[in-house]
Amino acid sequence: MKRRLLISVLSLFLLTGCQLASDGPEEGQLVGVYFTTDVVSIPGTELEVDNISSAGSISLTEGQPGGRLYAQELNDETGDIYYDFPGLNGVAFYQIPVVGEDGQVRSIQENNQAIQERHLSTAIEDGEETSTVKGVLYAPTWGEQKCLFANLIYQTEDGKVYLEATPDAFDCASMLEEGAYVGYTWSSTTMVETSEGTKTSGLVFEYGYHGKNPVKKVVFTQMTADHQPISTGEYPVDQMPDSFEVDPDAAYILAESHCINGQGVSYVDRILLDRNDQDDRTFTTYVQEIPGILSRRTTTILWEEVGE
Amino acid sequence: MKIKWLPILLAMTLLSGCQLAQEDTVVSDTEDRLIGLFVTKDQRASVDAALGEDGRYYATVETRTNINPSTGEEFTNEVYTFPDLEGMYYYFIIDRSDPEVVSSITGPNEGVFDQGTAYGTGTGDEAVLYASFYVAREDDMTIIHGNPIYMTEDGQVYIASGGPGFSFSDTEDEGSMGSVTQSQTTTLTVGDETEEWSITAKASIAFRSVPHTIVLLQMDDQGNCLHRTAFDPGQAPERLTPEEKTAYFIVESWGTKASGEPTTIREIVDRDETNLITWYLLDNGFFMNQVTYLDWEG
Repeated sequence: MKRRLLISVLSLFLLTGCQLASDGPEEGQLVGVYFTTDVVSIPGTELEVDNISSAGSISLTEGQPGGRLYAQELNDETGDIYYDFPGLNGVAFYQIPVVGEDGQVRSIQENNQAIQERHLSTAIEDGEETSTVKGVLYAPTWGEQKCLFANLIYQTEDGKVYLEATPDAFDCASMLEEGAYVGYTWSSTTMVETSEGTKTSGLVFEYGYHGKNPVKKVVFTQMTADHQPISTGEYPVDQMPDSFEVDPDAAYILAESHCINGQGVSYVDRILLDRNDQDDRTFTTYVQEIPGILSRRTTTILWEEVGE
Repeated sequence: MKIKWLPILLAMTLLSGCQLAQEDTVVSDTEDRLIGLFVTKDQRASVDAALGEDGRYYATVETRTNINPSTGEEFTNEVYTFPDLEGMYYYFIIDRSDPEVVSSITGPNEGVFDQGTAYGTGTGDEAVLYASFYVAREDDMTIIHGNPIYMTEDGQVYIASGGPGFSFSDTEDEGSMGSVTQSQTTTLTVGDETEEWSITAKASIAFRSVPHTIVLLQMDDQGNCLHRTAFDPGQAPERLTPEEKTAYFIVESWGTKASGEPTTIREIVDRDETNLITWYLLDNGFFMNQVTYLDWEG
């Protein structure tokens, strides 16, 4: 188990608040954010890049507001509901209430490996409930760095989920240090009728972009208890296996992640995976499933022989 | 809605002692402020037996010489200590004299393997103080108590008995962890304004097997062992100059589980680390950390 010293440099913290009240078609409740690496083109909305600040923030000019892209409600292989936006290749981050067949309301959240440090909390004060959903995208500090657009996701009263193209974006090319962070907050409130009167229900989405040095390859060296190497396996990060079978004689694995920092300097990050440590049953790295966004890739470490 | 959150992580930030009550600055005008916890395995024999008639055990101010684990430089500072008490403790004295900048002064916090403070504002100001300790397993149930440490307005520090506790059963082993938490809500006066402030102090305790030997291995970037040193727990050198080709250390702690089975705890220390830590058992059943400064440039 390796001790890590987290160095947080350039912690830029930008917070913006947003209230939903506006005129026009039925307004929905804020339920999430959909991240893309290109401006989302929705019929009826034209967005142009207006300005890119040195800190990375991008402002866009909204030509003709009001365009919506409605999501499809689908079921995954386990039967769980998820929402997909046709034609878009991005990362969803949402907390959407759904009424089940039994009439009970439950929350549906995204299931992808690109949202990190996800956390949901609820605070109740004076009978009014506020839920806060937090999540982070890891942006590479080197290599393919993209502008990330945070398009807001809403849900209408009758349950339709839609997306509106965002007027805000962030240029991750300014993210040069691991640990650098830029955060945003969007919130909404609704009035809920209860037996005790009208109550305010709030939902807050806190999201941000966290700089992370990308990994090029991972090397697993299996070692005996007296530190003799048994075998070495080298994997490009996008070819990490789903599982790794360990030699019965291996006491530990030296896992070396060959990384590159924001200045283009290569270095090796090492950890030990120990047979006797219950926390060392998986190894996690990060790979660009979508260029410009790092997603988790987890490898199960099979310390026992398969079939035992 | 704007939310302010100021996370503060302090690892071994040792400064001289601080008197919080100063004119023209923040004043706590309700009760003595919670600043940490004193953790015991034998509450009755330790804290309870040492309390004064006022139910308090007052700290002693001590001047100590330490090595900065990041730079290797020596420095002296004043800390609060509790001589004659068996147990482990930590404290953080949060400085609110400048409302725009929140900082804290930490104690010696020896034997701690994870510590810090977090400060935020929501419905009111909130501060969370936390630290983790290792303890050796006993044949019988292990009972842990967390006694609150307070600081008065005039800067006196004391322990009050009666904090929360929990127990480990005799069937639990290495890795088992429990925690004690003490909370307080107090009011601060800043100029003409008052504000509510809640403080939570948490101590987490984890079982660790007792080591009989510590082994340091210096490895090159090909995984070859360049140098091997073994010593008794508690006998690690204060400073160490690695071999020129050393890419990383493997620190092994050889011990025995409760079942009698041998066990080895391994940790890796890379070149970007300025120190390594080994652990040894104290007579009070808790573990103490020993820091070895690594002079990579030497």
